[in-house]
Amino acid sequence: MRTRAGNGSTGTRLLLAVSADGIVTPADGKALCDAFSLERLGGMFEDLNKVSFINKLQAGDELALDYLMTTLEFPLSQFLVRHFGLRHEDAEDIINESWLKIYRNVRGFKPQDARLTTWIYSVVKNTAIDRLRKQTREGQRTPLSANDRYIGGAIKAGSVPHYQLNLNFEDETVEGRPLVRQLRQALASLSEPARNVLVMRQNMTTKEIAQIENISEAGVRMRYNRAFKDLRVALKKVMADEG
Amino acid sequence: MKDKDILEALTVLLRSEHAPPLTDEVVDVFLALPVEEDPHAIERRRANFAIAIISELHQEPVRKIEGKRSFGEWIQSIRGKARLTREAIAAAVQKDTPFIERLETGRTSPFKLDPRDISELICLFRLHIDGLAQLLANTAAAASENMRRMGRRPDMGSAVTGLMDPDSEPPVSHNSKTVDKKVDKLLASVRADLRQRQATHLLE
Repeated sequence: MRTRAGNGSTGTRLLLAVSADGIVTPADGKALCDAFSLERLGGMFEDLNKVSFINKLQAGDELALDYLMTTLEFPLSQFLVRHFGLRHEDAEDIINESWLKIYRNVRGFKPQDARLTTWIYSVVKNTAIDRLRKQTREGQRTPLSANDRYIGGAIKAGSVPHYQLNLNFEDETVEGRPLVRQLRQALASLSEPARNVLVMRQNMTTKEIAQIENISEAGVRMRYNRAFKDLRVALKKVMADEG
Repeated sequence: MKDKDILEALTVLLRSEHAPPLTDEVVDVFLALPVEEDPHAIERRRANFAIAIISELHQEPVRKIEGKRSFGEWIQSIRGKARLTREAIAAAVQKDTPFIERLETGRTSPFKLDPRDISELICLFRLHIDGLAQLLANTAAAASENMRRMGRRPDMGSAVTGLMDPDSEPPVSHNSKTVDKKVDKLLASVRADLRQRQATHLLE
């Protein structure tokens, strides 16, 4: 197997946005969180998001389609393995199903409304959720449990902080779990940077985030802890409002 | 409320359909992670994708061919319609890309191929044996016409560009009986192979 660095063709690192007050320092946790809106990595998969490339794709250029699939299939597979704890074979199946959806619908994609890579990730994620939900309904998969490989996988990938999880879900739906429903509301009230760090930390280790963002691991932990604290506060408010 | 409970619930939420949508920034960070690439996975994906797309395109086996396209030209036209690369077709029939290129451009004649390779191709393209017969007849007719235009006698051997391989057997005679015999012989071999594969939907 070959290993490819995922930080794009230019090797440029992601930079933190500079706050209105000046350079953000790790000591300033709040400012760090607030300023956490990533500048896009120059050159990283930017070719896929260019209008000229999207036009080729939509015009039916088979080489463009193959290039898209070849470029993204391993990052997508990795995302599925980490996010849902899937086996690689299952991830491959879901990605194959996703490519068919993308093939059928890419002509309707509007580059002015979204980035192509983000749209593709969303298609893949939703395909995975649909598949997993169907398998659960058909009894091929039990609802989430601590031993479930897709949560287990996430824990193993180190994407979950060092909490001792004791999951015992009977019903994995949001409606069946008031806390999950309340959390959804609380999460929606957070700033995008705070939400982003919580999502990333579900799939990546502190070290990985630090490397990609070119900050210290302590900086990442501070940012995450700040976001989690904001989440707790927001959740308390949602619960209080519900009485 | 314990942090542990919040984290559990967050884990469930972010893996459900109710999770907030992925943002550009988060996706870019995911893309920045190093990955391990497996070339075999790329070939598998190409093959599976080609099979799925062509199955959608030809939900029923193709029995009738429009026009006078040769076998290679037809393959190329369907590939183009399906928006597939030669690499994808090659992966699906377990051949290399130059094989597909030579076939499409006519540098390799289907009469030169192993009947099993033809079966593999017609299974992929869901081409009925009747459709294959038409394409083979078109291919042979085009080769004969080409020979006639070049003013060569069939028994003079070949240095023909276009339809026949330079090192191949002597070009197909423009005698229609010989052409029919050649087509029938190849069809019989392909039929036998399809029966062995239990691809009866292409024979009935």
